[in-house]
Formats: sequence, C-alpha cells, structure tokens
Amino acid sequence: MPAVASAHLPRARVVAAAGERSAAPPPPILPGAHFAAALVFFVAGSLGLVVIAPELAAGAFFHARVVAVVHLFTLGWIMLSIFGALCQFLPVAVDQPIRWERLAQLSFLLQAIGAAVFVSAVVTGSRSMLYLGAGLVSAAFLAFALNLAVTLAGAATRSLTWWALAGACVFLVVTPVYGFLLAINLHSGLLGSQRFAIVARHSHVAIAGVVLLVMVGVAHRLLPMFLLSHGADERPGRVAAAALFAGAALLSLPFGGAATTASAAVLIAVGVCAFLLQAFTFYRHGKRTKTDPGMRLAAAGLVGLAAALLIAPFALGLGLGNVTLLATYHLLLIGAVSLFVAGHYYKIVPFLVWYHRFGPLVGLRTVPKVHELYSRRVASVNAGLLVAGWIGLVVGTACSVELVIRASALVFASGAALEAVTIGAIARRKPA
Amino acid sequence: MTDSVERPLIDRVYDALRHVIDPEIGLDIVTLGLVYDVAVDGGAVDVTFSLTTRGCPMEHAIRGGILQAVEHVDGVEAVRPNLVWEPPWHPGMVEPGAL
Repeated sequence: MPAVASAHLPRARVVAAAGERSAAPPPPILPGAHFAAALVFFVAGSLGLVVIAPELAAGAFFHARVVAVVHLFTLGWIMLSIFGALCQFLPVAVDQPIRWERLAQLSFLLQAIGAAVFVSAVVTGSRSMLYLGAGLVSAAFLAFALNLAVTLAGAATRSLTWWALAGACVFLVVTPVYGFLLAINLHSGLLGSQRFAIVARHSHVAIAGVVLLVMVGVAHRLLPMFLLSHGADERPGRVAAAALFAGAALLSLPFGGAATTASAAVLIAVGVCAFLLQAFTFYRHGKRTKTDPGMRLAAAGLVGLAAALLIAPFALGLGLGNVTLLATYHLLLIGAVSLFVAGHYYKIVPFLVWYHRFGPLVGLRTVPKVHELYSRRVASVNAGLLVAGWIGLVVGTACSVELVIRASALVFASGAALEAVTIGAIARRKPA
Repeated sequence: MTDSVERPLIDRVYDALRHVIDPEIGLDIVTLGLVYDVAVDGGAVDVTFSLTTRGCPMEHAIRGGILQAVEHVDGVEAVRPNLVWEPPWHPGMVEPGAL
C-alpha cells in the first residue's frame, strides 16, 4: 500500500464529512452478551434433546422435560438471538439505534435469568420458581416490545422492515399472556381439555407473530445485502408480512371458534409460503458466486420451514390424536427456526468483530475480510452436524425409534457445541 | 492547477481507494463501483461514494477508510467523503468478472 504507508508525510486536513449518514450501532457488548447467553442455551437445549429421547420416542408432548427443552430453544436460543440481533441491526433496518440501551440491557438480564429459572422450575416442579421465571420472561418481552416500539416511532421512513417489526411488537405482548396462562395451568390444571388448543395458540402466535415477522423484516434488509440480489421482486415479502400479522392477530383472539382458527391458519400458511418465495427469489437473484456456510445453513432452515408447513395441517388437525406427528411437527418447526438463526451467527458475529476491531484500520493497513475471521471448513462441518442431527431427530421421532433420536441428538449437540466454540473463537479475534 | 497535474493526483486517489474494502463482499470500493466520483480542487479531494444498500452497516468503516486512505496521498491537503444514494447502487456496477 505505497500511497497509504507514507506515514511520515504530513497528514492531510480532514474536512467534516458530507452527504448522508446512517445511525451508529450500539456498543458490541450489548448484542455480544445476548449472543453469548443464547449460545449457552443452544448447547444446553441440544444436550437436553439427548436426555428427552425416550419422551420424544413416546410422543410425550406434554412431559415436563419436553416442555423444558422446548423453552431452552425458544426462550433461550431463539428469543435471545432475536433481541441481540435487533439491537445490532436496528440502525441498518430502520436507521435508528435502539432507543434505550439501558432498557435493552435490563430486558437481556430479565430474559436470560427468567428463561433459566423457568426451565429449571418446569423440571423441578417448583411452583413459586415457575411463576418467577414466567414473570421475568414476560417482563423481558414487554420491556423489549416497548423499547422496539419507541425506536420504530422515531424512524423517518416506514419500509416493509419497519411494518414487520412493528407487527412483531404487538405479539411480543400477546405471547407471554398465553405463556403465563399455560404456566399457571401446569399446577392448577385450569385449562382442562383446552390445554392443547392454548398451547397451539401460544406457540403459533410466538412463531408466526414474533419470530417469522422478525425474520421477514430482517431478511428483507439483509438477504439482498448478503446475496447481492438487488432488484429482486419484493412483493412476496409484503404479502408475507401482511398475512402473518393478520393470521397471528386472529389467532391471538381468545374467542371465535373453529372458523376463526382455520382462517388464522390459512393466513399464516399464506404468509409462510410468501416468505419462502421471497427468500427463494433473493437466493436465485443473488450475484455472489459462492454462498457461505452460514447462508447455506439458513437456507436449510427455510427448507425445514417448508416441510413443517406441509405437515402442519395433519399434525394440528389430528392434535393429541397423533402425538407422534405432533412431536415431529414441532421438532421440524423449532429446528428450522434454530438452524436459520444458527446460520446467521456466521454473518452477524464476524461482522460485529470486524466492525469494532478491524474497521478502524481500513485504509491504513491490509485487513482481513469478514469470512476470513473463521475457517470455512469448520463452519461447513458445523452446519453439516446440525442439519444431519436435526434430520435424524425428525426421522427418529416420526418412527418412534429412541436409539435413532438419541444418536441424532448427540450429533446435533456436537454441532451446537462446535458452533459455540467457533463463534467464541471469532469473538476473540484481534488485529495482529 | 492544470489538467496534466490534476490527473495523476486523481489516479493516486483512486489507487488509494482500492485499499478500502467492503469486508463482507471482499472487494474494494472502486472495483465494486461504489466510488461515483473523485473531484480535485487544488489539494482538496471530494470523494462521492455510495453503499450496497441504504443503511449498510459498513458505512462508518468505509467512510473512515476513505479518509484514512486518501489523506496520506502525496499532494492531498483535505479529504471530504460524500455519501449519496442516487443513483442507487446495483450489482451491474461491479467491474466485470470481479464477483
């Protein structure tokens, strides 16, 4: 770099930068803490799959240990990842940093501690700890929803991403209401035969109303950037956001009967199809000749989402009449979202490290590219273990074979552990 | 300043800008077609650039990179990076065969 290396020359005067400017991201510790805690839950949940192999083989959908492991993934892995990623990417998504960093720190602590307390209480059967955990998690959801809503209110423009995140705010409030009701039911049994219907409502409002709406909104911004798929048709994304919001809103209503629930299911199915079509359009339109392991893992998650959509009518229609199919469906669905999230760690964390440690050196010396902060081969092995383990878990559960489930859970857990180690190593990368 | 003197400075500025990479894509901002214009007025250099997408998280790094790369070019007295969104960048602006 001859022109740059002549540091002995008098430095030029830097005139105040002109033109447009984007909002600055938060300090790395905020999303970093979310990601570190989420990875702990990911590994714990994956090991939990090994432990609950007998329950999965028996289709014991409501067993306390199954409920606990499901929440290690949903409350710990998926939601902490979403909260952390939104803290990092709100400046990109809506050109506004998270409004209150301290409130984001508080919601992180409430969520991480609350999820751990809740899961422990489900396993031990402690009523007081169960309510404490559910209360902490509910408070975390409400605090993050408030922070997100105020942040969005300050945005100058209202893109599809803005609308999708605004919709997710609503269901961040609704989801814990049903969750708390179900927590009370664990000891009181007040829901009686309605328990399955409420579980289905709770899980699908959370997945469609929070997780998928966030995925639609963030993917609309990030996939074209990662894949260089500018100019792709973006209408499916709009349909996805509108249908998912409408479906989750209908499902949130505590009344309306079968017709309302069926309408909600159709809307959510349309939303998922539209989202998958949008993602496929972005991938197909992409100009990058190489798709990195992270994006391939995310794509595997999307394929799983399509598979979950195909069996959803049968699994939810038969309900407790076929618990094996029900358990298989939930494994497919939660696994698909988990893989989508896991794939994005290979985009978000290296970027975070690069931005804060190597970014200031751009133009002064040669800096590594983002993908050079980790081994592509290790990342591919990581993705392979997760996908292979997940497929084995789904097949083993569908066929009710405990040995296959346990072996696959071990493979999946190896993938989760490798992801935690690799991401940890990336987080420690510094300029030489 | 005459054109014959100005051109080499512009060339040297472009050379320096080739050391500013978009770390996600792995290409420099000149190859990517993100540098829309370099204007030299005496020792003052205006670099008009864009990003791959509005709100790109690399903005601060790339803006800082432009400053740090160009301010060390011999003959440059002042640098002004100017971010614009029009015309919107698209992959067709990348130098052929680079992706």
